[in-house]
Amino acid sequence: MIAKPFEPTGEQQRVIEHAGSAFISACPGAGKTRVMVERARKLLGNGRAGRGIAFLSFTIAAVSELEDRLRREGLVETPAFPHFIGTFDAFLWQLVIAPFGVDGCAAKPRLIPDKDDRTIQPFAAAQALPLECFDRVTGDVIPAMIQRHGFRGKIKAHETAARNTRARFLERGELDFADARAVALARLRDPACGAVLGPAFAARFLELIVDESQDCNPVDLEIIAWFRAAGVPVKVICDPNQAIYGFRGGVTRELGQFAESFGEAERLPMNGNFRSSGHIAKGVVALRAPNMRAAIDEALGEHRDEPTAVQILSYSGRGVPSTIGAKFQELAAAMGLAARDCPVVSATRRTGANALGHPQDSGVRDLSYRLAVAVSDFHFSFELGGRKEALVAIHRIMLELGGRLGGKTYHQHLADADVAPDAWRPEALALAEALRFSPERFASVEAWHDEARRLLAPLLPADGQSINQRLRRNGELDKALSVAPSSGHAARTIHSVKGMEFPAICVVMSPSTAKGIIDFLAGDAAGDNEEARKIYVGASRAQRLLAIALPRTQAPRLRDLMIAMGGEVELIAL
Amino acid sequence: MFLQKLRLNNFRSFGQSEIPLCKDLTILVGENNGGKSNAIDAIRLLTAPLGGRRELYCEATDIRFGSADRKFELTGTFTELSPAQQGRMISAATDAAISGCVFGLKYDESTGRFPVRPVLWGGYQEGNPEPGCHEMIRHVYLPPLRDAKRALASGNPTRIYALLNHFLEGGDPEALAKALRRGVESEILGKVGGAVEVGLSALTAGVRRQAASLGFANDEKLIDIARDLRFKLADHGIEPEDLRYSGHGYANLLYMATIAVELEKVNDADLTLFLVEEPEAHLHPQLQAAVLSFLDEQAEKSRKPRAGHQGPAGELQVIVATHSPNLSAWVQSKKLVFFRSFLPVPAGAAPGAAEGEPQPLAGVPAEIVPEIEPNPAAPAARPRRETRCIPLAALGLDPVEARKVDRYLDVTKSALLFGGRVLLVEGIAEALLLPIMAKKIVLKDDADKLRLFRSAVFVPIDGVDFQPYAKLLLSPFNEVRIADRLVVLTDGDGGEVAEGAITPGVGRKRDLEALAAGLGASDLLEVVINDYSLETELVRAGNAAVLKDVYLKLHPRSGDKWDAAVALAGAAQAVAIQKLFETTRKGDFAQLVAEEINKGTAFTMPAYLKAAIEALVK
Repeated sequence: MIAKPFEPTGEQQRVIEHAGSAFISACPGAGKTRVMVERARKLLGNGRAGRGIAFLSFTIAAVSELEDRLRREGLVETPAFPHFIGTFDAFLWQLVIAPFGVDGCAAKPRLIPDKDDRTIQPFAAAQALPLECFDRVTGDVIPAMIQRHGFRGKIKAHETAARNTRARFLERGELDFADARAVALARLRDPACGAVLGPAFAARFLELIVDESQDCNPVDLEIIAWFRAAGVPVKVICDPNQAIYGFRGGVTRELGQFAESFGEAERLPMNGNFRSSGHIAKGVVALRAPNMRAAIDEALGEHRDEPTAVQILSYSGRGVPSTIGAKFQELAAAMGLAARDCPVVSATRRTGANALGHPQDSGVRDLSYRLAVAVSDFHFSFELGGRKEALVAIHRIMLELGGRLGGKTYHQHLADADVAPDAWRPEALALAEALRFSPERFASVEAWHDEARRLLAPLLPADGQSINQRLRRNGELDKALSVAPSSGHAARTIHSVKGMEFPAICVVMSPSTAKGIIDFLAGDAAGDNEEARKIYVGASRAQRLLAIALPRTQAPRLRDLMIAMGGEVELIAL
Repeated sequence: MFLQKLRLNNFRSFGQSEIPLCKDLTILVGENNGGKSNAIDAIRLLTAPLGGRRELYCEATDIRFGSADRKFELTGTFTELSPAQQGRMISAATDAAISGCVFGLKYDESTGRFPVRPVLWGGYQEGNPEPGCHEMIRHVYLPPLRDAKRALASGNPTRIYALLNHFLEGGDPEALAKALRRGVESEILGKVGGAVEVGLSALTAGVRRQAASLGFANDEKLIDIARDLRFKLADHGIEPEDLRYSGHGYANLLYMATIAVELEKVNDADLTLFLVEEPEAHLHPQLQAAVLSFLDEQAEKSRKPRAGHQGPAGELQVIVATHSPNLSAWVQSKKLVFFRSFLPVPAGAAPGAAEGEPQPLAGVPAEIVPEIEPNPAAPAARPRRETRCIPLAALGLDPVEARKVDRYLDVTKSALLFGGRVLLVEGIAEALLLPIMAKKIVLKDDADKLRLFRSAVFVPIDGVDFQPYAKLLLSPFNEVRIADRLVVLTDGDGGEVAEGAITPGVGRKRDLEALAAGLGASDLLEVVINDYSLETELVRAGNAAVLKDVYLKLHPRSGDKWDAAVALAGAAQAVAIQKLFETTRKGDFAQLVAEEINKGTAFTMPAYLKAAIEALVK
């Protein structure tokens, strides 16, 4: 197929031509990547070789896609220098933290992303709590968090231990992302350092482009503002309706305030949807917050005339049934779409897996069970990312069995022992293959369990518990290992499909979140609802077929909301 | 931006050394096997080649021989970064103010991984530099011509200039040198292009009719031309390896052509280090200075700030390794770094003990006492020679002294930078007479000492201002000095000195000895003086008859004048003899005296000359 020459819309053209800083709000499918590529072409075509553009985003997937495009277009080479293409965190780490270290700390800074998972157990009999239960500044306990862990009793000893643990982390230069942002902002704002870094960045970078800025947290926004003040033109590209990184501290209110710091001429919209059918483009507007529905994005892409209506799958019962997956498969197949291109997405992988009848993690923290889940995950994953995650889980179980973590977090162990993936992956892969559950190989769950014990026994430390004590019998194992016929659809989290597009997608709301989401969308609940934004993100990935599964009680409400936007919507009761 | 210092740790002949470098041009001088090439190679390993094709890789043999510590490390510190360079080099910053950047190359066999992969680190945290930033610093290496044949055989197109040489005939290298002096780049390229065309037509006339069929465009860069030429030659069944090099005139021309072509490319990098090894092996002496001054000018020009330009700065820094006195004579002394081989104090030796003193190479050039390494017979604990550097700028010469040294270090005197045993004399006469006197009279029965004497450097300084030289030669730096032994031979000049006052010679001796004492080098310096002057002392030693014969050869009708002067005594005689030599060229006179001594004419050595010769070989 020969790609059509790119003919930008007026809005796109304005963004491509705009010199200096701008705040760009773009709807789903607005062609952001294309526009960023064209912007880069314009900037680099002026014979200003040797200077770079910083392309920043918030997920590796988004970064790789853009990097791939820029390379294919011949706009950057390998290495990308003097450009920088990477996540916002990587940018700060590489250019502001790693070269200079942490003030008052002699150790070389190291990134320990799972620092908050570190367990706090002040004495042997005490209940173990993860470090994230304690405020990172004051060290005081966060009541909501210990409630979630069912903690009762005196917390004083835990708080002291947590403070000491954080101090020790810092002494060793071990930072997580939140620490890193704080350290970076402090350095940029330091008058002496800032006086050097400002001109240095301004001289090196023609422009700083931050994609997916709706995922910025307040510190990120302050950092972007610093660059703007330092004389680096910044392009902030975002869709406030897609802010789904609340756990990273991302906030929509601050984003609004940040937008207002840009002048009228510096706020550029991109409202044409090049991805979805007209029905989908209209329907998903109903999934935005009630006050954000004024502009209905116009469908401009090749699928704009797709006749298929948005499908609302109404399910009954207290759990998420596998009939969702079956119906979705039927719908997609009727349109001639290959199942593997059409994922089932939800806020958690578990909900999606339920909808497809895949074995999934019931949340039990037993090593045997976790091993079974990891092995199943490995064989049920259709994309590389899921397989890699499953291998990490298997490796982690191997380390735990061997008593190798020794009170460190997984990533701390990897950093300390300087373990590269190629050092452990072959072993983990071999284990995943050897324990693949199929009737031909294992007569029963027990047979699988015995084989797992036999294979893993050599990893145990000499004088510890026996393998039978470590890998206990678990009544749920059969659920984790069940070999449901695979429909070919992949269960994915909404976070993992951000920025992507699919011919068909099925978005599943669990019974526990659906009412809250629909209440919010109907304007019956005040405040902010990130779950609703996730549904919006998931639904707006669809090109031709969008299916949304939700409980019977909420399905008609959603149908009514969506029909009000002017597109066709059908409701199917399962 | 420029490479401010290069640190070498356990690399080849270096123990732990730091070499400071100058912004535009640095000349590494010193004896053979002194380690200059090793320093150049260190820069080649540490930076990327401008042409992209690496010719040198880290090897196990780069680890200092016999070192139990199976690793080496090279570190380059760069300074004076522009804001744009600070932005590009941020991940290799030397400090929070990014006042410089630093890259290191670590080669460590002890990790047990095979093959050993050298690790490049950057910045004071010794972290991973941002991929690509290191390539903003490049080098161009111009090897000694004697290596060209091997390089050619390896198929490297940048070396094909030697091949082109084969086809070029006639022409005037001098004219090109003049063009170089004016520093007009395009003009040189034009000339080179023309020259290449001449050569190509010669080639094609012999092999094929149409030059056009070779597909060369006039404006193509020489490197490309050379590469294409190689292919074309292969097509015609000519093996480049079989070609011999002939006619050094055009080797010169093409060498400079290579320089010009490389200069075209430096604008893609922030800094290009031009590494020139033994330019004296390529260039006629008169061209050496011209080429270097051209490069020096280019380096200076490359640093002119360009308004609004924030891309790669295209700066140039030239580093030359040479043992040609011509080159060291030509640049300011502060741009010279002296290299020498040094035998460190053996570990465990009592400090201050006589045997524990550093044992330098005793001024014997490496050719005479070859260092046999590896030496399997030697015990592992035996201290090994290592390279030490003395940056002349670090020797604490004040500006006046530095200016004097610069003025004095002309071609005839810069040999003193080769160190070892140095004899400083006032004029050409002493320099002519002493070797023959040592050979025929003083050391005639002692072959060993005569050999030592011959390896010494003789420098007539044309005057009596020994002080700056002595300071240069005797100042210690990192345990080493340029000279191992310094003998100053000077006249007493007592002729017209008032009764009771000290002679100027005694005054000079006193000052020089005080200087040496201040530098902790009293035992290395010997100042030998006479009462009056060379000619007077020769007469006083009882050689009046021989000298008169010689004098009459130069002034056939002045016999009476001679007799009258010699007939006097003491100071009056000295003054009179000095007067005779006001109209006589001392050099010619000394030459004739030397001939007499060589013929075997009986001659009595003045005691002070004998003392000077013996002091030099002590």
